[in-house]
Amino acid sequence: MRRWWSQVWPPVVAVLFFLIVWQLCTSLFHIEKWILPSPGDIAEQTTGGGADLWGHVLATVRLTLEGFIIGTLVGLVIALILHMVPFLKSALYPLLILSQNIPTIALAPLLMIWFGFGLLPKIIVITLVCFFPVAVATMGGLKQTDRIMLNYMQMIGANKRQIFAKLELPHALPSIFSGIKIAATYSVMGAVIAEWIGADKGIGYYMMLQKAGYRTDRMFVAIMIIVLLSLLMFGLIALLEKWLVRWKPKQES
Amino acid sequence: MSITEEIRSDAKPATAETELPPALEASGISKSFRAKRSSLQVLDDITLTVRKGEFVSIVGPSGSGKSTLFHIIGGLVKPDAGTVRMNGTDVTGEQGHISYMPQQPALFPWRTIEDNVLLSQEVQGSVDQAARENARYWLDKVGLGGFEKAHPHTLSGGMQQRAAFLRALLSPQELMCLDEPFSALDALTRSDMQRWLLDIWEESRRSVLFITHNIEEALLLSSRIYVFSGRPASVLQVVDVPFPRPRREEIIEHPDFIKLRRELSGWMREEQQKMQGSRSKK
Repeated sequence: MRRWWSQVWPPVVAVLFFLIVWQLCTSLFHIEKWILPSPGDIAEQTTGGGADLWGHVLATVRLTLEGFIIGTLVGLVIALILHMVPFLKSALYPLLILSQNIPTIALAPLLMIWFGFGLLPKIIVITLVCFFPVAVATMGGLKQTDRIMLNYMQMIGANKRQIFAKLELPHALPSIFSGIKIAATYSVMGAVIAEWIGADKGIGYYMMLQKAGYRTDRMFVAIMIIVLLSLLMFGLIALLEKWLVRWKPKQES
Repeated sequence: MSITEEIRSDAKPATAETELPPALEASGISKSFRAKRSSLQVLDDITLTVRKGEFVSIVGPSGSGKSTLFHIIGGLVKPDAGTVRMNGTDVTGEQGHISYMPQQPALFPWRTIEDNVLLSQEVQGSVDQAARENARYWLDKVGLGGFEKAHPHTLSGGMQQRAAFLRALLSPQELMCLDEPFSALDALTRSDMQRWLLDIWEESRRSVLFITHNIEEALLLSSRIYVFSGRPASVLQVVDVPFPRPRREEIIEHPDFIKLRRELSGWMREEQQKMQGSRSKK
C-alpha cells in the first residue's frame, strides 16, 4: 500500500499543479472562455453538459465496442491465415503495411461515399485502425515460438495442430495481448473520426455540434470523455490479460 | 559378499530379455549436412542397440553429433543411410515412437507442473482420471508433492529437471531418450540428480538411451556405454559396465570403477585432442 502510494502521488501532484496553473492563467490574463475555458468552466459542463451528452457517449461506446471486437477478430484471422500460409504472408505483408500509410481521415469520406451513412462505413474505419496492431503482434508472437519447446514437441511426435494449440498459441498470447491493447485505445479514436465524417449521434458528432457553436468548454468535455474511454478500454484489456496470462513470471519493473 | 563376487554374478544377462526384439536397434546410420558448397559429415556408420529394460549411454566429445543421432531416432531428421528399428519394426523417419527429455527442461510455462508432466500423454492420446492420479503419485514420489498446481518458474532448476524427467517417464513410449539432461545443473545438484535417477530407474527399468559427456555419470548409471569419436562420429568403443544392480553411489570409489573411468577418460581426451588438432589445421 505504501509503495503503491509512493508511485501514485508524483503524477497526481503534477496533474493538480498543471490544472491550478491553467485556472490561474485563464483568470489572471482574462482569456476569453471561447478561446480557452478554465478547468472550472469545463467541470461545470460535465454535469450541465446539455444536448443529451450521455446519450452521445453511449452511442460512441457501442460503436467503439462493435468496431473493436470486429477489428480484433479480423486482425487475428489475418494473422492466423498468414502464419499458416507463408506464401500469402510474403505476398500480402507489404500490402498490410501500405494499408496503414493511408491516413484514416482521408479514407473515411471515401467510405461514406461508397457505403452511405450507416453503421458499415464506421465499422470499416475502426476495423482498419484496429486490425493492424493485432495482426502484426500476433504474427510476431507466433513466429517467435521457443525453439527448444518446439523441438521437444516434434520429438515426441506432436502433429501440426497439436503444436499450434498446445505451444504456439499459448506462447504467443502475451504478444497478442500487447497488440490488442494498442487496438483498444485506437478503437475509440477510430470511432470519433467515423462520427466526425457522418453521424447523427456520438461524441464525434457532439464535438462537431459544439465546434459550430464555439462551445470550447464542451469540446474539452468531449476530449476528456474520449481520453477516459480510451483508458477504460485499455484497462479492461489489461485486466483480461492479467487473468488469461496468469502464468507469466513476474518481471522486475 | 564382496563386490567382485557381485560383479561376477551379474555378468551374465537374463536370457529371457535378450530374446525379445531390442527396444532400439540403430544400424549403419550415416548423416551429412550440406552447408554452402561443402558437405559436413556428422555421423559415420553408427550401430547401436538398446535392449528392453537396459540403460545405455553415449559419451563423446561435445559437438560430435550426438544430438543429431537423437533427431534421427526421433524421426525429425532422415539419415542418409541406415535404419532405425524399434521392437523389431522399421521406424526410420517416423515421429512419435520415443519419449524424450531435452537438455533444458523445456517445461511449458503456462501449464502447471501436473499438466506439464501429462503433456506427452496428451499428445499421444488422452488423459483420464487414472493418468492424473498416476502423475500425482509420481510427483509425490520424486519430491514434487504439493507443487502439482505450481507453475514451472517457481521451481528450482533441479526440480524442473525432475518434472521434465517425469514427463518423459510417464510417456507411453517404450524407449526414453535423455539428451544430456543434467548438463545445465551445478555440480552438487547434478550428483543429487544422478543418484535420484539411479533410484527411479532401478525401480521402473525402462529402456533408456542417455547422452552425456560426463564419464562418471555414464559409468554410474548404465549397463553399456558407447564411446563416440569426434566428428564425424563413429562408435569407437563399446564398454559393458560390469557393476551389479541395484547400484549404490559408493561404487564410484571401487578400484574397478576408477580403472574403467581412467580408461574411458583416456579415449575421450584423445578424441578431443584429435578434434582440436583438425580444427587448428584449418
